Amino acid sequence: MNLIQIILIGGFLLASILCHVALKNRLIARLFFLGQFALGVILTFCPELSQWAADVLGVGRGTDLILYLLVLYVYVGSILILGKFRQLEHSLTDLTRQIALANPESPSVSTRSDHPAE
Amino acid sequence: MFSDVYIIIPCYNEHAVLRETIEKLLPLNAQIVLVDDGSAVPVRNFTAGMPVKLLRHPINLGQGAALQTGMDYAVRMGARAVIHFDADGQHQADDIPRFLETLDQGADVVLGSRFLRAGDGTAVSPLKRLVLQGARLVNLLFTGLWLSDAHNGFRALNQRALKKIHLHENRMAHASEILAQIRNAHLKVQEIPTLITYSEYSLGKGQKLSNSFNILLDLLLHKLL
Repeated sequence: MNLIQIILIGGFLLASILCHVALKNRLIARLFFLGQFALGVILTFCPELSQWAADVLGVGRGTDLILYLLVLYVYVGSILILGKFRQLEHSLTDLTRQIALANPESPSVSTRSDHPAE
Repeated sequence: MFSDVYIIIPCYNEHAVLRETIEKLLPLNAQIVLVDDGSAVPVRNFTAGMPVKLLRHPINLGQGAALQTGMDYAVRMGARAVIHFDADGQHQADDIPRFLETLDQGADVVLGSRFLRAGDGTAVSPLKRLVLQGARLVNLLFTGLWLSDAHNGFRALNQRALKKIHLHENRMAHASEILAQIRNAHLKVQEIPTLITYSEYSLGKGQKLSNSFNILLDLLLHKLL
């Protein structure tokens, strides 16, 4: 086994463990990352498979195919993360709003809270 | 006179002219709602003794979020109408009765415009005017409304509009989002002339032209996600 293969397998393994720890109770996400780990390991030991896939898809070299797929992966991943941020922002906004609405103040009367009628 | 009208003023570190802005609104006898959008020093420290309602966001969310919080409060309190008013003193309190008259005449939403009356737009710099023309086009593309002004924060909404409109854009893109919602809900919209006073303070606090790109990106993001 080459040194680079040891480094890559170690990196894949560490990333996979971290993903599984972070994704508690999310089976589909865990399976997705498990698949990624498996693919990474397979391509590390059998790099000729990427060349075979490149030939099938009409790309010159296996490394080029991996690079193209990586770019696509980063874009899709970024969009999904942005969507998740947006969901979190909405939740945070709702929470902040509820706190504000539950505690209206009237400076001219006193410091007590003055709750609106529901 | 306007005890069932709620004037919503979003505030974020607007302490310098806030009391002055509020004092000009007091003769209207409307309900003044300050939404403190997570100011570093709470707005309550600067409004002692003033007949206002204070709502404080524990964290800064943006002007759109602050306006929606104010509108939610106004709906809970049974408001007949709501006015969106800037804290930096650039809107004229004297214009508010004209906004409400226009609502009474059948409009659901009244929007202020700097370009309907000769002279109102002279305070707008040529560069800003150019950007505003672009913003009008963006508004048309995203909302289908062709208005004489873009991103004028002086607005009035009646109860029907309050029920239909809910701002999801926390930051400045709410200005275009509200137009899209007006159009989608088939609300009757009317523009009326308003004079915006650009003081050194309001110019310093106001939106940078470069922020137009942020607004555009926010709108795109909202459409896509």
